[in-house]
Amino acid sequence: MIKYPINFKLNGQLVSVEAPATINLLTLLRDYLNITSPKFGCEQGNCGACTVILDGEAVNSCLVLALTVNGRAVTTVEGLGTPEDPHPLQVAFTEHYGAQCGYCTPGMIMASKALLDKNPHPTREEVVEGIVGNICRCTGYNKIVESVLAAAEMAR
Amino acid sequence: MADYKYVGKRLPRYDGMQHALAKTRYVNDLRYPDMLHMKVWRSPLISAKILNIDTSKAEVLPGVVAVVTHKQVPHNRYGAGDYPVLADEEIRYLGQEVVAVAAVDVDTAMEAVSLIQVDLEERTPLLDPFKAMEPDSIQLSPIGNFIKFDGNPYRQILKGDFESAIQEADFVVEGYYRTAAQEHCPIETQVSICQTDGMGRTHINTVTQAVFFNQGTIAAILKKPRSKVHMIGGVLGGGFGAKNDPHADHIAAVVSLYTGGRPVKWLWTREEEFVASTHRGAMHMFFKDGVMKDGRIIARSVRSIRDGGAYILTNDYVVAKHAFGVAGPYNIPNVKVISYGLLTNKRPTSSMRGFGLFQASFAFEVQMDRIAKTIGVDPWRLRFINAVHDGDTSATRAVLHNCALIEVMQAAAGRAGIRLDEELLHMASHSREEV
Amino acid sequence: MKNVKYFVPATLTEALQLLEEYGPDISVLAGGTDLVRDMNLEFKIPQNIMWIGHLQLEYIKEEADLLRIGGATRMQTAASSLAVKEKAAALAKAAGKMASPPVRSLATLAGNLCTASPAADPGCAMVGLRAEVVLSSTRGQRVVPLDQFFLAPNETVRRPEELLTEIQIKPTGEREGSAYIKIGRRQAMTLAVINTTSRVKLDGAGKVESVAIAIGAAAPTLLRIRPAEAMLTGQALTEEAILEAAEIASKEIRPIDDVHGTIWYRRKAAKVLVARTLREAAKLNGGG
Repeated sequence: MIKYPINFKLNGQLVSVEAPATINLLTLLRDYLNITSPKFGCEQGNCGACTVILDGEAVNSCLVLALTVNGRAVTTVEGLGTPEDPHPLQVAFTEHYGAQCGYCTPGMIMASKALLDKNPHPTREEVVEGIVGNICRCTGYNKIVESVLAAAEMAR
Repeated sequence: MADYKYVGKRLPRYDGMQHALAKTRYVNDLRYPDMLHMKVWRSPLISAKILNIDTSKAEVLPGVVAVVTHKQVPHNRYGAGDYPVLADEEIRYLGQEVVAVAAVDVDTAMEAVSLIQVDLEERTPLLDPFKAMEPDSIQLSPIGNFIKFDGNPYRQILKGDFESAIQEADFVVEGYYRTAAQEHCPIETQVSICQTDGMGRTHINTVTQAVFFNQGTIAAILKKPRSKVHMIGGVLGGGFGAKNDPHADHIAAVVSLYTGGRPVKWLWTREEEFVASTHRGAMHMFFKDGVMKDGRIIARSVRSIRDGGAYILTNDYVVAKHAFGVAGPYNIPNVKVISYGLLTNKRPTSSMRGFGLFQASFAFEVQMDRIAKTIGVDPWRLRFINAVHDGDTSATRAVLHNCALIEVMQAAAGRAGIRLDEELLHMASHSREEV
Repeated sequence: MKNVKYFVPATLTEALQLLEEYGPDISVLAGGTDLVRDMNLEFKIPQNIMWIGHLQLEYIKEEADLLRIGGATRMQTAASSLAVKEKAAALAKAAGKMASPPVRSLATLAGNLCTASPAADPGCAMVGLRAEVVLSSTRGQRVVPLDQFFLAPNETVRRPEELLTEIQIKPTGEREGSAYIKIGRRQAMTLAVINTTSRVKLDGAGKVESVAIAIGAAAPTLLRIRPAEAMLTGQALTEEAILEAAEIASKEIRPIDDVHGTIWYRRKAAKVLVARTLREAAKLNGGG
């Protein structure tokens, strides 16, 4: 089977991998690179559980053809914080109960990070707008919005 | 008041930071060496007779390790004893599983499925639960379309004498309420990883909400004692009732008997989740109430029809629980509830957040508003007048204690900024005297 | 297992040569929000894929009397562009309402047009703005008005060897505006049940000098409502005239009953939305 090289920056580190032209970035991250934070929820761009940051923008990794990330930069939750030094979003989601089952959480966090990187002091409206591409079936969203606003406060 | 360590304190979720760091290991995040991938042949027809299953081409495709039909299932019935693990004689719903394939990767498994030939004789489907009640309708099971309750075609709740009491009423208020079928749509789809080891013990990485219940179900399917079924569960990406009944576990467990000890993973697509997983079934509820001028409901009859889908599963439990509660938390002396569950050619319906009570609450509360409007009584007052008190009996004639509907309504009104009449604010559940 | 070949042309010439060589056997990958989704769901696995990400086709150029937008311009770029917000407001709004933020970071205008969904949001805006598209091939270029571009759902006049390289819109000038409204089953992340665009230019006396009305999700392709436009042209844009035009529009469309909406509802909604976009485009926003 024809495979093509992909060299890109993943969470700040250069990685090299080979993959066929048929696979998407979600599969590349999860199955080729053991990055399991982006989740499989629909593979149609409808649920947002696979959201990662590509060149500074939140994207549905299931809609990105893996080969197109050659030469670019991808960030996932694995690159955000550590247990010893969590990112403000991770602290906020914990303290404000932004996660219940946790399955939508990595996508929510990356979508929120992309939002806060562009707009460090969003209004509640803007937070809601920023996460409309991420579906949560557990929380009813209020706690997630509060978490993001709290993270923005923390970073002030 | 003692200072407690946990009681009365706000505590973080123990797994909150774990989720935020994406360290939570869901079943689809698990990796095993030598792991196989499973795909399933699903029926494209809603209702059909199975004439022949030909898996010969799939079996010889390089990379295919196991092809499993009903013939390889040790005990091919579960649920209420009517549900096949893999369809053998017939198809009763769109997407019903017939053949399972385990292969070295997903693409090979899918290609193998495309090589399977199943000959089906299409039948007219039965999609309307009301039609299913008619004597000359298509009969979906050997014992007919009505789900049975101690041999009866409905669950009945009787209290007092509805037929006489309704004659005494000042008003008769009728209402027809229906709730649609709903899909839980947990963001994590059904998924399972099964491996049967050299001792014949099957290890199942499961997303089930009911670990022990499913252990028993799967043990019976595999014809093994429970000690041979090892469930590893407790972490799932949402359930809401979608993951009570076995979906992926039982079929993957059977397949794992034939993969020479290799683990096999079956991940459902979102489409499979919508088409072929259990749903909350549609419910139709017909209310007929006898109400007095002063607002007392003296007689209530409810006739409910649940679209149960193709197999019984937990429908009898849903219908029964619904029947117990559909008359509402109100002190009604004469109650008649008849609740039906009908089989139709749809995906079997099962649990979702409340087992029939959510549908009941919607119906009896809208019915209260309808009564209020019809007889000209304030909707709050109507509920206070009819609310249960300690010592009253429910529709099932159980004596009630520790009632709190009145207090909850008072508190709710307060928080919503609604000013209730003094009379209502002085009511209390523990006594019918004014307090 | 299919052996799919992947190409990343570095220049437009290279890209057009690949299209000439492979024709219908090569799929153009822009944002991927349609193509990669189709591949994920096994609807379509192309034999060859050509990614146009390195062709510098994402740009917004303001010329004196033409807004030139590169085909690979993404929704979020169009939505946040000052030039588009000022000179083609309907497109900025539509691009900003389409799908969700992570999709808008990928999805391109050309991709949206070539997918030719009858309910396309940016498509509806561009049709109502009287946009034209530049189709490039090794043989040169041709410019096609967008209301002649769509043939049927997922079918356009683009030939397999052509690439939609640019969208051209005459910027709205003095006494001219555009507006776009969409109604869906949800407030966001929703397919349009009906969407409408209006582009209105008034003369010095407040009469309609030119008007374009587009409606989506109401026919096999995005529609321009010419009878309503004809009725309004030369008229004073009174509330009466607006409502009459909206009435004509609601009768001209050919909606169907489907899971997203009914004929009855679509006609009602179209009438309301056409009136609203006309008012907004002409900046007569007193009404709802």
